[in-house]
Amino acid sequence: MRFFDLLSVQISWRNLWRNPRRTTIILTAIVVGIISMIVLSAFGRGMMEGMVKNSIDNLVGHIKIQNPQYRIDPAIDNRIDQAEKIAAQIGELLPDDVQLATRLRLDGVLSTSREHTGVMIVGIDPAAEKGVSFIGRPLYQGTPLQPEDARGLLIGQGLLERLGLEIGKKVVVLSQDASGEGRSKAFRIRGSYRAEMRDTEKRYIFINLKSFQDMLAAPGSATEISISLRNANAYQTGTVEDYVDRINERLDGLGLEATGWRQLLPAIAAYIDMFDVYMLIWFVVVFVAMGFGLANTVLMAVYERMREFGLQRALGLRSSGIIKNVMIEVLFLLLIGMALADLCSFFLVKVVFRSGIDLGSFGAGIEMWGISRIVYPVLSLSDIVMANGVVVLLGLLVGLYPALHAARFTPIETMRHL
Amino acid sequence: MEIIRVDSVSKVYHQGRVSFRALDKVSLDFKKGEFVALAGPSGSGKTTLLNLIGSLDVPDEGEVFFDQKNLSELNDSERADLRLHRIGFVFQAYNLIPVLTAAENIDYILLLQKVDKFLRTRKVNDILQEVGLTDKASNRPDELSGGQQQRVAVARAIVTDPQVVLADEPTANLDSTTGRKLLEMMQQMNRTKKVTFIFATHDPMVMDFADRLVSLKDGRIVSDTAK
Repeated sequence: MRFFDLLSVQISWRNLWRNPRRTTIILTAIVVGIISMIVLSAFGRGMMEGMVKNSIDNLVGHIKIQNPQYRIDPAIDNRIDQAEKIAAQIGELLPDDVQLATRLRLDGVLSTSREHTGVMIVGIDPAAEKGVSFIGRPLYQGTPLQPEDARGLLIGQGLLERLGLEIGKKVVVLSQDASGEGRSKAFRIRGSYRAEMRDTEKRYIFINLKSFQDMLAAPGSATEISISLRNANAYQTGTVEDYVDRINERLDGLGLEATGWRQLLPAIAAYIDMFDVYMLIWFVVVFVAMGFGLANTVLMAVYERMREFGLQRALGLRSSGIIKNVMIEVLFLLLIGMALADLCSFFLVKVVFRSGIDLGSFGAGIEMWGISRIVYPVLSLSDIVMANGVVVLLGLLVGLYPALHAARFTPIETMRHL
Repeated sequence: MEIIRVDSVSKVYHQGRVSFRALDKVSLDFKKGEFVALAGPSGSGKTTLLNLIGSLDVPDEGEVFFDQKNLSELNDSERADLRLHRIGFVFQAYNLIPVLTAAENIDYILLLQKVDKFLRTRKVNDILQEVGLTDKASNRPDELSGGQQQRVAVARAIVTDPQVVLADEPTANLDSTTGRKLLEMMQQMNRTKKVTFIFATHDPMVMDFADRLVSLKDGRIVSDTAK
C-alpha cells in the first residue's frame, strides 16, 4: 500500500478531531512551543545583528587597515604615513559601493575652563564618515563639521552634559606629537552627537583630520583606514575575509595590516558563532517539554481506540499499517501546529514587534554588551527551518512510541478490552 | 471438499494464577459452502475456536489447517494476509471503524487488498445494493441502527469474495426481526456465492438457520449434527 493512501489519511484526520478539546490543547502546546522557538530566535538574532551593527558603526568598520603596532600601543608613532595615497590604492581593489574613511585617533585631554577629562580624539573627514560610522549620521544638536573648519569640534551629548558645556563654547584639546611633546589647540563646539552607547558619547570627540594632523605636525598621517562594505550580510563569514586577503596582498611590505571585524571584535564573533548552537539547544529544550505532552496525548488516543486497532488487525491490516496510521495522525498534529505557529510568529515579528522591543529598562546592563536599546527581531529562514525541523523530526520520533504501542495490540487482546 | 481442518486443538488461557482450558483436544472439519453454527453456553469455547480458525489466535496444542495450510507455520504478517484475502469477519459489536462512512468501511478492506479505485467503487456500490443500504452509504456507524451496522459488517466481510466468513454472535445485539433479516441475507449469500459461514452463537434462531450444528461444552464437542 502506498504510504499516503487517501483513506488512511482520512481515518487519521477524522480520528484527530474525535476529541477536539484534546487535539486543541496539544495543538496549543505545539504552537506556543514553536512560537517561542521562532520569536526568541528572531529576538536573539535581532539583538546579535544590532550588536554587530553598533560595533561596526562604532568606528570599527568591516575592515580596518592599521599599523599592527598601533593595536598594542595606540600612539602617533604607530601611524600610517601617506594614508590618503594608500586609501586610494586600496579603493581600487574594492567594488565601487565600498566606502573608506581615513582617521587619526589618539588619546588626549579635553580642557574646559573648569575641568580636564581624558578623551579619544578622532580626526575625521566628515564627508567620508557618512554611512560608515555613527558620526556620519545627523547630529543631536548643532551643525556638522565643515571640511575646511580647522577649529570645529563635535562632542558626545553625554560628555557635553557632564561637563556642563554648550554648543558654541570653546574648549582646548591636548595630545602628544611624534616627538612626545604635548600639543594643544583651541576648538569651538559645533555640535553634539548621540551614540547607541552612552560610554561612546562620553569618550569620543571629533575634529577635522587635517586640523588634527596640523596640530600634531604629522601631515598626511592617520592611524586607521576603515572600510565599510555595503553588503547587508557582511557580518557573516566569507565576504570580509576575501577582501582582507586581497588588501593584505597589496599592503605587503608597507608594514600595515588589514583586519576583519571578526578579529577586531572577537567576543562578538564568538557569540555569533555560538548563536546557532544556543538556538538548537533551546529548540531541543522546548521540544522535550512539548514532546512529553505529545506522546501522552497520542498514547491516550491510542488506548481509547484499542478496540478499533484490534478490529483493523483482525480485518488483515498489518502492524506496520497501524504504525502508519498513528504516525500520519502525529504528522497532522505537527504540521497543523507548525503552520499555525509559523503564521503567528510571522505576525508577531513583522506586525506586533515591527517597531522593535524597547530594552531601555535594562539600561546600562545591555549597553555594556553593545546591545541596542531597541531590538528589532530578525526572522531568519534558517531559524524557521531549524525550529520546524526539530519539531517534525523529534515529533515523529516521539510519536513512534505510541504508534509502536498500538501495533503491539493483538486482535484478541483488544477484542476482550470492552 | 474440506476448507478447514481443526486437529486435536487445545487452548488454555491464564488469568493471574488461574488457568482456564477453553478448548480441549477439539477436532473437526468444515467443508466449502457449509453454513455452520458453533453453539454452546458462555465459556464453552465457541469464540476461541472461531478465533483459532480465523488465525486471530494460535493454539497451545494441535493444529488448524486452512485450505491445507497449517496456520501455526504462518508468521504475523502471513496470518494478516490470510485474514485479509480469504476470511471475512463479522463481530458481535464494535464492528465498524467509527470515523468512516458505511461505504468507506467497505472500501477500506478493498483498499487494504490494493484493489484499484474503479473496481472498488463498483464493488462497494454493488454490495451496498445487495444488503439494501445504498441510501445509507454516506452515513457513519453512529448514524446507523444496530441491524444496519451489522449489514455493513456483512457487506464488508463478503465484498472481498472470501472463502470463509466467521461471525461471532452477529445477532446478539439485534432484535429478532432484524436478526432474522440478517441471517436470511447471509444464507442467501452462502447459497449464491458458495461462501462458508461459521457462526459462534447461542441464539436459537441462528441454530435454526444453520445446515450443521456443532455443540460445545467446557471446551469439547458434545454433538455435531447435519440437518
